[in-house]
Amino acid sequence: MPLSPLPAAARQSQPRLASLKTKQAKFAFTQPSVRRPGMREAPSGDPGTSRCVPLLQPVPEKASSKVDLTSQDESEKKPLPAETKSFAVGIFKGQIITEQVFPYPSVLNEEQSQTLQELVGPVSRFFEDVNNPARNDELEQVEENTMQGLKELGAFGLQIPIALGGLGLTNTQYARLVEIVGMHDLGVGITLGAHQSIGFKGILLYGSPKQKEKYLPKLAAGETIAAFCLTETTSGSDAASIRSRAELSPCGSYYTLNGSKLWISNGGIADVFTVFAKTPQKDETGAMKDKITAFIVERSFKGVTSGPPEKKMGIKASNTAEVYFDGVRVPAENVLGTPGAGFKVAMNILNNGRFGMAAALAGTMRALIGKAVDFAANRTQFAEKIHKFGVIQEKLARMAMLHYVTESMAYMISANMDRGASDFQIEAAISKVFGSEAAWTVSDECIQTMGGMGFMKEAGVEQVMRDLRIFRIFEGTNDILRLFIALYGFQNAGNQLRGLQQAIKNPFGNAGLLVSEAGKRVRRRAGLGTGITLKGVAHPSLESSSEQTVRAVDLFAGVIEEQLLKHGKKVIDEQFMLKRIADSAIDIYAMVVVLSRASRSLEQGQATAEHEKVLCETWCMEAYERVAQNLTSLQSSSSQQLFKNLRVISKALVENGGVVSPYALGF
Amino acid sequence: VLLHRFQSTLVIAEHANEALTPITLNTITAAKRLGGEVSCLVAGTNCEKVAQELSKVQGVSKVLFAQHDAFKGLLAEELTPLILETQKQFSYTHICAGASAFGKNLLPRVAAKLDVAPISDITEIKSPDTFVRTIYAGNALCTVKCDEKIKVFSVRGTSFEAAPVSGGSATVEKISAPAPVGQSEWIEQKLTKSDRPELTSAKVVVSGGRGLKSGENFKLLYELADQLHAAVGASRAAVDAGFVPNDMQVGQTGKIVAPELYIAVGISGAIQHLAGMKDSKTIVAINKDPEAPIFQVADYGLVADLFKVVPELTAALKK
Amino acid sequence: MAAAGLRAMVGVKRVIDYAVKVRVKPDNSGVVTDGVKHSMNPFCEIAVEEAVRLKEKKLVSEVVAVSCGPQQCQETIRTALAMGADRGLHVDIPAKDYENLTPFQVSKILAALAKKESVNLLLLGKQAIDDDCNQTGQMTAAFLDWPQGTFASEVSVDGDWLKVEREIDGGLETVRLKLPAVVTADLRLNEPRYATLPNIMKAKKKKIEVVKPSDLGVDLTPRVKTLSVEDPPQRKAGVKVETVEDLVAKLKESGRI
Repeated sequence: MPLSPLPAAARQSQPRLASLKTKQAKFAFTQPSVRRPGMREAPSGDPGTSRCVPLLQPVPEKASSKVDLTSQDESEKKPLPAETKSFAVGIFKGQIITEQVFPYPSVLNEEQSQTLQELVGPVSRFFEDVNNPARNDELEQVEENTMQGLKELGAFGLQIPIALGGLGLTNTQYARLVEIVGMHDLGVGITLGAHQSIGFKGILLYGSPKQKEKYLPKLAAGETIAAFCLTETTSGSDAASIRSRAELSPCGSYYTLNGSKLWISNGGIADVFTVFAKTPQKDETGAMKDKITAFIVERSFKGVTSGPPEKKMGIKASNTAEVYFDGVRVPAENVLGTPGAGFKVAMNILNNGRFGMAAALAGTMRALIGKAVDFAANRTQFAEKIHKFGVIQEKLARMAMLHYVTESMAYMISANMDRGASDFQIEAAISKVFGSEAAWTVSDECIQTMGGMGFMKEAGVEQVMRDLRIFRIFEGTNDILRLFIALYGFQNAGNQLRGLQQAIKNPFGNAGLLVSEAGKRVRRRAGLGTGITLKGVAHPSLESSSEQTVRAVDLFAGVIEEQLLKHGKKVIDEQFMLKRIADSAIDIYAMVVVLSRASRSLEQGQATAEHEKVLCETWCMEAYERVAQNLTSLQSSSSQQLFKNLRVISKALVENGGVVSPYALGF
Repeated sequence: VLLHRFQSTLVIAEHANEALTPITLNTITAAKRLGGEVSCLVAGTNCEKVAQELSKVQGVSKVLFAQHDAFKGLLAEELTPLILETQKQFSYTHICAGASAFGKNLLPRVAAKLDVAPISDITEIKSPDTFVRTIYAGNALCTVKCDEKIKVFSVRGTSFEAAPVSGGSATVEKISAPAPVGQSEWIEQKLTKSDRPELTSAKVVVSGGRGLKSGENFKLLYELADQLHAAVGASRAAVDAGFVPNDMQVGQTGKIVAPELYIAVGISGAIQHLAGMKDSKTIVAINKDPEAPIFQVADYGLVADLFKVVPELTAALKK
Repeated sequence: MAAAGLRAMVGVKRVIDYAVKVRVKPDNSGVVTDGVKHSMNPFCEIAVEEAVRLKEKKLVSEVVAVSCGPQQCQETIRTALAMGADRGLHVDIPAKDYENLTPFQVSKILAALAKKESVNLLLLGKQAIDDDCNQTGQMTAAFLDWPQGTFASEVSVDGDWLKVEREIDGGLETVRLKLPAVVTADLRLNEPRYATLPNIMKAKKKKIEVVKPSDLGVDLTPRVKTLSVEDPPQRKAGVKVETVEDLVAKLKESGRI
């Protein structure tokens, strides 16, 4: 019964592209393209181009400049997941895996639902009556009485087990409360999120019973605050390159930790830090290799200090600071998980908390839309309320769709996690990318709808926009996450392809496979469906959207196959292409998510079902066009030229240190 | 119509410091509307003067009064037995009082003792058994029919004209007070002293809200009120913020007013406040926020800084 | 009846949330309540808060929260439990009867419960923000033959008596009531605490007993019938004036000054 908020499966199957996953601490510092030691270089490619090439696998035993997409990772000794349940991964192979997407999941039993309903009221009231976002922004700090109120409210230990002083909420319940926070104050949202979504999540996921008992109760009460320390000046997106080191003492009872962390949320106010540092580990051959280990470090350990709060564009109320570890002695029993397994710990923590962001942003958007609608419905210009004008109608409608998609993604993912799904990292990444960009657009359009009023501090919207900007950057920049989505999908599809290649070597033993795959390819090339369908799964009145989704998946899989056949493992270098692949995957997942949600509403005969149907159909209409356009462009030669040109322009800019073309007037 | 002849209504008079409280006159008008005889009951420690005053009100046929130390403070526990005895003696078909703090406190207790359901704060009498009252802070009007043998109800003063205080010639009768109950004691009153007209009966009311920013700034409103011979009220926000005492609160849970002219200064116009002044004949709103809800009910709205225009208005009226 | 042993009962009513804009039903039979946000009547919250504070001061030994109505009332009782009430009493009234429920029947129910539970302090909100009746406290006191301290802005225990400061039209008034007594809470009696999430979870372990009005010998036959519910008359739209002079001119014109 998947009621535990900590799916055991969360520890499983690390993505092969582990280091590609750049969910760092809150602030991923996107490196300029600089060659760094330990960085792999693609074997071929422009010699003059420095590329930040993400590692696909941990460093294999034999040094090789080749990055192998399809081979097993011996050093990890773990087989690839045989059957993925992830819809987003499945589409790369032209499969529509419905298990996690249809029907739209409801995981709360009556008791959980009732409990949650009782919690929503007080949390909402607190944020309506006590929390003052403008004041927090002004002070660049959460007001003292608000902080105290949040602690008393119990907001600091939402997912800590009840026995340890928390509320023991499931992911879905947590999402609903986080949605309220997002609706009102993202600065507070990050303070709470940095504390529990990632700050002490490692203890929840990997902590020993002793560690849990020691730390969680005080963290639940907010007596101690937690922070997640991964990012360093030279290590943002490329998390595996961190330089902080922890050396085990000869007696083996403690580590000495040295290093400094950058842009740590709650860094200046936390007492409990989850710190990632390199530790020398003996591998099977007996050689010493640096691997990341996760530690629980207390501020009270001598040598832990933090810097002054950073001045930021937004989420000013959230404390962001450098944290320094100078010869800090960390007891060996404070290792989180096992020594050397820290990278996985980091990635899993970030993965596990991602759905929360989409939920929070859904709340933010709902509030913004409320403001935009209120303005449009009351503002009279040219003798009409402005919501009568098409330009405004389009804005409002698009905002509503972006919100609907994000909200539907958030709760689908949280429900799947609650059910014990282990295959959700791609969807989580998609929801983060989509949600953060959707929210940015919604805030932008909300201000535009409100005109000058929106620009004024008093309206409260400009703060939200400033607060939102970081969401596309931290917890894995959207750029890196797109690469991850695309490459992970490729890898999974590539394995299938490998299977095919083996079948080709032994056609007689694998005739059936060949025939079916060849048949599919032929059908796809001919523009005919490959037999995948959503009939009987999605609601019949959403047939056109279902069809568009299926066609999109077919088109998508065809392009994936083409690209794999074209580039092979070098597909990882093709970032222009990868971005468009990722955009298409995101659009397709979005289509299926709204299809699923609207289907459920229609099936349940909900009052808003017709409206949701329109949202769904409109979204799918446009998403399909985008996918088609993205993918067909990839098949054309003009896109190749385009990419080449983009490269050339960028290269020239770098060489010139800025704009190349002279001033328009020549001087 | 036949019913009217058998109608008889008892109005529980409210008074303070040996002066009749104006709402009693509005209540008498309501009582008259029922048709039938109207009698008044006055209780107090020294209320013969008030009884005499009442006897001159047009439309009143009988005034009963009772005096006893136990009636100090007009405690509901002490007045109720008196009213019950009077009812036993005279069998009124209707018993009413103004919907003031006094009437609202007293009448439901009386009704319960008579084992009937009372009706609070009526704004209209459609027939001797059908009344209109507001619900949801005045956002809906509710017409109710009462089938009780005795109808007990309180009357919203601002919904009925005050009965003329002369031309009447009622009989005045002293009645004996029942034995004191003794389960409650009146200790003291802390009234806000004011030379201004009383809020609920003033013709003009000037009200201030949170926009005044401090109790001191209410001085601006007092000065304006002086020019208009107005009463001064406040929104709940201003009272909660400690700018002014609670008896100045106009709103759903404060006082209901319906003056000729209501000037809302620095008041946003929350539904709960509107409930207390929506029925004013003319509403003027002064607020620097053009989107403030008060403008939706205002007949005249001035979007401006109150600290600038209120003194201007005061000066303009002095001329 | 030593003060330390006061047993308090608090009535709580589930009403449409104060921030919701109510709409009259098209058939004028009432107000739209389906799907509309409900919460505890704000005055009831104040009453619960006062009871809990008295308990924290050790003047009250037990606080029982009671609500009358259909199943959803239990939400409101749970809120009271989360605020600190010890246990709940749900007087189960089917939706159809609930439509016609008025303070008259509720007071009889509360009076019966007060006797059954050996209560000596009954705290209620002064009025419910839906019907705005302001009757229940007074009527219950009458049925019990207890004194009543209505519109209370301060309550203190004084031996066998209760000292109550009340909000009246001209200011404030202080009375003393012999216990047992009924007190109705006014706005400024206190500021209710926010139910914390851990307290909400803990409140789940507190008991809510369900009783029927018939168990208490109370007849629910309505005494007052609602004939219709209508929108209030609309005010005509107003105009904006630009200057003080304009305003004065317009007011003079309409004879207001």
